[in-house]
Amino acid sequence: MSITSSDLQARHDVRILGVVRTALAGHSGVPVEAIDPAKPLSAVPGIESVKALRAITEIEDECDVVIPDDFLFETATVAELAGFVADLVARSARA
Amino acid sequence: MTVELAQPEALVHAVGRFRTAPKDIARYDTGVDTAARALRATPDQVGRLAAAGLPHSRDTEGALLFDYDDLMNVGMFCGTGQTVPELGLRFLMRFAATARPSWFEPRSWEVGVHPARTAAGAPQGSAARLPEVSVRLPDDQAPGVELLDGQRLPDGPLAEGGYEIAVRLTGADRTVHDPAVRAVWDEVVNTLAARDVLYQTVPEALREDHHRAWGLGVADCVVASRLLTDMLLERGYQARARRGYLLGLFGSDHAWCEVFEDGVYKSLDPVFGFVSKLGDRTRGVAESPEFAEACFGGRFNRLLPCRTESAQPLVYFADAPAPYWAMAGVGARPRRTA
Repeated sequence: MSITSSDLQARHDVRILGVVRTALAGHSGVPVEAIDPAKPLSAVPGIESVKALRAITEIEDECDVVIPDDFLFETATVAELAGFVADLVARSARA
Repeated sequence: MTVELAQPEALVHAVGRFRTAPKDIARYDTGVDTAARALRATPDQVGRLAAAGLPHSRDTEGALLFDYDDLMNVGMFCGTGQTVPELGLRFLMRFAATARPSWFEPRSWEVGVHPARTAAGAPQGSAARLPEVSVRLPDDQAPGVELLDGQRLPDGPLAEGGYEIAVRLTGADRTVHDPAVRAVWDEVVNTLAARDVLYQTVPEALREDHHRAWGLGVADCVVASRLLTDMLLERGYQARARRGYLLGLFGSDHAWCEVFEDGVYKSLDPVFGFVSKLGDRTRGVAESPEFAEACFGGRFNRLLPCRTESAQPLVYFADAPAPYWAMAGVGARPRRTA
């Protein structure tokens, strides 16, 4: 099931989406506006594996979570990644 | 696009925190621009390394040239968390933080080995003529290694070019029972943990003389595994140094030791053992005593052994071991199931 931006907003997780987009933009060298939440990570302009891993580390450090490798291997969209991170943050807060 | 490091002096802070390549081993053939790309830094930041004491030479036009392995150690020890060596360690050890059963359960992978013949960070001049590549083939006869789809590999240890395989790796949750083996293991791991020998990148030429490397106070997975193997052989044990690929988001080669006990070879991984024993918070590596203990006998489902019993290199350019950056052409991902 895909997760859309509106789903994220409903869960008050827009901040997480912002963190994700900012990290991806910063490491791929494009403006934040160029990061389309509906597109796969692989479609981020200028992204390649090492830059993507740098972005992931920034997201993890910012949100204090570890994103499982198995999720990162899948072709997720930017919004799905943000939703997944938001769930990790929520679970971490409940623990 | 070159992105400047957050701290302009970050690279310089690494100088003195590792041991540079011995003069008779070092190859000063990596220019400033190449180094800047490899370290995600500006040429000016790289230039400051020479002033800070990083060994170098100059070409005929006076431009700085550095040793590539020294530069990798600058990346490893600069503390930004963003250089390729730092990312490598962080991502390679992530699976240690997962649940114990996930270390051993059968796991299917699609593996592509097509070593880069040029890359960002390649030493100057290497792009002029592309080298002939040969690669070490996976040890498909090793326990826990099963090629899928009826694939077959050629005979012999090496093949030209590269390969793609689908493979299922099955780990083994076990330990070594012999206390004398434990004593040798403790000696190596504790020496690394005490920093009496520094874990860092070691040039392949120095890896070939692993006793010299250890004596100089430097080790990586190849050095530590070969040394542990020698120590076990000297004590009469049947042991061998293995080398293969650690499969994951950040592909890399890795070496470990195996000792024969109870009718099977059991893995001894001194570098994983010491890294997970201590953890490395600055590089995002959590400590895991349970994983450290599993490195003493356990076989992991992310290690694909290749055909060598002395941890020989996995990739060659012509007849010489390929540089570190050739690993950029190695990739793996979990196999999708229908």
